[in-house]
Amino acid sequence: MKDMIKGKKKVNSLKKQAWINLICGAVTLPLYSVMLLPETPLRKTLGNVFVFITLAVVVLLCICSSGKKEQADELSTANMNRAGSISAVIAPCILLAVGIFMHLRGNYIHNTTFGITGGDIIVFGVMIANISIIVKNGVFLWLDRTPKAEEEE
Amino acid sequence: MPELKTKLKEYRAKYDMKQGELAERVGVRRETIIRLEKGQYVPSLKLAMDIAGVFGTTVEELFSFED
Repeated sequence: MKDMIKGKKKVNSLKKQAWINLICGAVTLPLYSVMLLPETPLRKTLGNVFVFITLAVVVLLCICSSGKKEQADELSTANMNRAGSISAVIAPCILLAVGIFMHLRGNYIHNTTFGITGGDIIVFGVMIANISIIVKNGVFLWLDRTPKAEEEE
Repeated sequence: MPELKTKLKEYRAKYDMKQGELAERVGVRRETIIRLEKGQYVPSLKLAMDIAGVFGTTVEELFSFED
């Protein structure tokens, strides 16, 4: 706060940026899940509540993340690339899981065809991208953690 | 896989330099210096040369690999 008064911009560390991205992703995920539910009055109410909560959290996080961003060094770049390649595997895994679930559900109700609208696919696509962001930032934070014995110097 | 051995900690102690100071001088984060000292990260040639330059020594003196 003192720095802001003096006119200096605080530098946001890469870990803080990753945490903000992770929280943004985690907060918006339930919103997509609600949007994929069947159209009912309860879903509409839930949807409105989730939209409000998500917007409030995202705006707060945007305020928290204002300022200069820390430059990535070679270790953080390597960790981010590793995290990115791990998260890239997640999307096909989710598709596979959803496919298996739909197939089993279809067998159970003796109907192997489902009605899916374009809107559903858009929401589902955004949801997968969101999960990828969560996984990428989560894995980055795990890879980039400071060894316990060296936390203080 | 060969293991990275480094004399970074000894050189830092010799020059009475903190991890943060060294990190700032070579333009990386302190986490990178910690990983380097623990032999958990193999630096790029540029970073190795920059660190060697700070201590006025050679890359071979600072870093070595053991099987």
